[in-house]
Amino acid sequence: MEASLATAGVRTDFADFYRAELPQVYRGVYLLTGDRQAALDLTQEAFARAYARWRRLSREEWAGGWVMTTALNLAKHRVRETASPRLPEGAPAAAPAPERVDLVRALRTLPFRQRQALVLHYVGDLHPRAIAQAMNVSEGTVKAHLAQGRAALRRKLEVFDG
Amino acid sequence: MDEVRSLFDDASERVAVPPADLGAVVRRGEARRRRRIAGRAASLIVVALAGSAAGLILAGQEGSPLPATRDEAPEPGGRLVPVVMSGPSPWPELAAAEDLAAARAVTVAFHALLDSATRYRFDYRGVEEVGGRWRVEFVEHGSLPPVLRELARARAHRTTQEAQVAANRAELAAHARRIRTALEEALGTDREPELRRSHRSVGEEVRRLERVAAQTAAEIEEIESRIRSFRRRQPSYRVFVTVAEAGGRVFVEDVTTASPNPSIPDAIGYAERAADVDSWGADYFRLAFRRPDGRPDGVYVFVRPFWTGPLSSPYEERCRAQVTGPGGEAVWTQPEPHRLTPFTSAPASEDARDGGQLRFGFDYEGTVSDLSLRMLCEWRPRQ
Repeated sequence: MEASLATAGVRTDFADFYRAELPQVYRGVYLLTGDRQAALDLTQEAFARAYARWRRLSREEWAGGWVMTTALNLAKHRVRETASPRLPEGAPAAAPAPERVDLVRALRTLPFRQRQALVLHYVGDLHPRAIAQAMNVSEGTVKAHLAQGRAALRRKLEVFDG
Repeated sequence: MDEVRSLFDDASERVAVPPADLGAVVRRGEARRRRRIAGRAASLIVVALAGSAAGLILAGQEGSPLPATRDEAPEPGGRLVPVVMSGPSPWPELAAAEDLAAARAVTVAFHALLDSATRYRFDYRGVEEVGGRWRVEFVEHGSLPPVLRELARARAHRTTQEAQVAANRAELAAHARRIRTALEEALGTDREPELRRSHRSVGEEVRRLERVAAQTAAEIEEIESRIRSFRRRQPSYRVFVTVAEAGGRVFVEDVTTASPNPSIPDAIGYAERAADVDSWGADYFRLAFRRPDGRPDGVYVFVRPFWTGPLSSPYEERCRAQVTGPGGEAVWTQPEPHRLTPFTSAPASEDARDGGQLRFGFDYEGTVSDLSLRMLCEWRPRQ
């Protein structure tokens, strides 16, 4: 594999990047889609796109955010194409923590841009400025998305009352 | 806020991450990278749409940022990509440029206008990535070519008339001189009245020819006035085509005219199903027409298949269009399926292209941009 990367002229630190960013990206996509197979596929596609442009991305601090945002953009289409949203596979059987299911359910009722901002912020751990760049909107818009998203989550989850 | 974070943290930690599969990513990425290289090569074929096949050819900027596709996160900084097209159909050259989203967007937009290009001229102005979509701008020259053809005919007619008038005048002048000479010689004879009548008739004929020439010149002036008037309206007569990509398919998402009074027949020609290089026909594309002030302007759909498969395909495609509202409810459904006639990327006859077109329109009072068009297609073995 390393030889293949070297042959392709792509820096081998892509492998380190991939391993380091995979958990966050996969979790972010999974929280949005609630579908393991889709999350796996979309995560892989996002990293494949990063690989194809690795020469440039590898020099950028926002490479991780780029992959996360790309994966979430891909997820947006997948969500649209799915007629009836699915809850996380195996959720009932695995008896997950109620707050996890609630969070996923609540997230899926939010407008996508709010979801995207929340996941990029809380899962991707990106600063609003970086999110603004990634989403191609202003930082103020991102902050508005975050505030509105948090407020909506509070209402929907009713765990922050009082 | 901390409570929100803890919820996310907790939910994230409970998501089991699958084992890393670097090999699969690299294989997939390598395929993308190869297409990307092909796209970079194709970018050097950046061509110019100048209204004729002999259009301007501009070189692509090697090393300029490669644009992201719609699904890829835009890179900070933004960009205006210099993609200009030319010739009747650059699609075959650019079809391989899967990752060269801007070039593809321009190509798709160009094809959306191609049908009208036989009657109208579009000057490409630029493509810009806006909010993850490509916005391609053209300036439409409307019915300028027919007007120009009319002017050319008029000018040719004027030339002919003027030449004829000049020849006739010369001949009549020579004839008048002969009559005058004869008249001088015949003064006081029986032939004098007849020669005087001949001389008057020559003068009348000369004046008649001059009136014809003046009338032709007036007609030409009227045509040129129409052209000047049309050209004065040009700056506001613009067409914006928004191209999006989803699921590996590129489609025209929105066509907006900035004309102060876009005519419905013109608007119909703008939209067609965009090229789908990966399969025979996209299932749907979304289309919205709006007036420049944002008000809905009815719904008009123009569908033309773009087949990249072999012409000898054993299948035929039948589609029924359905327009759905923002909630997915059916707003309008085409009563009968329409057989779409395939044609190749090679120039097709007008008949074949017409056979592949599907046009319909209906009134809609709501927000047109919320509408979606779904093409319900089926493929049957060709009879």
